[in-house]
Amino acid sequence: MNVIISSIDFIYNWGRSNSIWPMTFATSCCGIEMMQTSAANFDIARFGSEVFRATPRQADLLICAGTITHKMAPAMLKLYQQMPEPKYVIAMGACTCGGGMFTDSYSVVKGIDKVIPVDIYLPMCPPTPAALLDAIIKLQKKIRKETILNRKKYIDAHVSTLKLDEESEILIKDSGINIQYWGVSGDLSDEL
Amino acid sequence: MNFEALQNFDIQVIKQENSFDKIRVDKSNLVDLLSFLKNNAEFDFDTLLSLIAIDLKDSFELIYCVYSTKLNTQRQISVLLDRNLPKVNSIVDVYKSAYFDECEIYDLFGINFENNPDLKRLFMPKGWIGNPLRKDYIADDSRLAWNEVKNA
Repeated sequence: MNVIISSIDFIYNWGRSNSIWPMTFATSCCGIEMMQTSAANFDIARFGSEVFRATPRQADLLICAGTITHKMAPAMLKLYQQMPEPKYVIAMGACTCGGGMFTDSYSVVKGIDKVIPVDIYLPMCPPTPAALLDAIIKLQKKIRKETILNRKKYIDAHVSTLKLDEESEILIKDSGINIQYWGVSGDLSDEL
Repeated sequence: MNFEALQNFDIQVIKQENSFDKIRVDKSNLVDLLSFLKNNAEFDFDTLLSLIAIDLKDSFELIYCVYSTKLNTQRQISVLLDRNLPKVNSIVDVYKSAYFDECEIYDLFGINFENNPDLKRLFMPKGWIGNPLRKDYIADDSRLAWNEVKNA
């Protein structure tokens, strides 16, 4: 039984990890580096991620490239919820990882992991194209370690604990959701 | 500029280095002064360039920058407001473009503009607590998930 599952896992993960389609989601200056990564010099197509989809329903990966403000956060959460499983998130740039130089600002979300689960953190200001490629390779390694037996656990972990309050236009805590184990496949220590 | 024509409005001229003279006026005379400056052919200030608010810690200062497209002159009209109950008459009737400036200042400084047709928050979400550009503003709204660390 284990032999069958592991060989299915291998083929399944090989296919998925080599065709991670990112969503076009560039909110500020990191987006320029993301464009450069997809251009000829760095050529993200070598890793199978050249297809930037304009709709979340066709995307596997959300590269959050740029500062997220309080007013943008509900839109990002909605886009994330519209992506089909399995889905992954790269927090690109210092602003998305922890607020960056806008940490003390009143308008900036202090790290997008407060809103949605993040798989790979890429803190630079802004990250070079080579660093973004490195993040994608790390994500591929992470995907190759997954198994279909844990499918439900992964799906449970990709639920946001926030919801939009229509009256106040602010993301508030959703008391109905208590899942705390975001990023279940986070054991990368032996690979990296 | 002929300041003598403005003596009815109880003005006070403040010299500024490397800039135009600033006209300080009481907030009760503000709308009258601006409509006079706009309609009088001698001044003819037909454009409101910008509306600036400054937090001076013990009071608020509003600066109306007006410009004449025909005479190519520019002036600043300044009003001082009480910090505890900041309110002033709206100038939307004189300059229509002031509407969005007044909404912005209401949003970020909490200054009330009386007789504004529809005063509402422009940038921040509807249910936001506090006015972020005031000097004593602290971001500690416990409804927001990213403020949890600060509260603990």
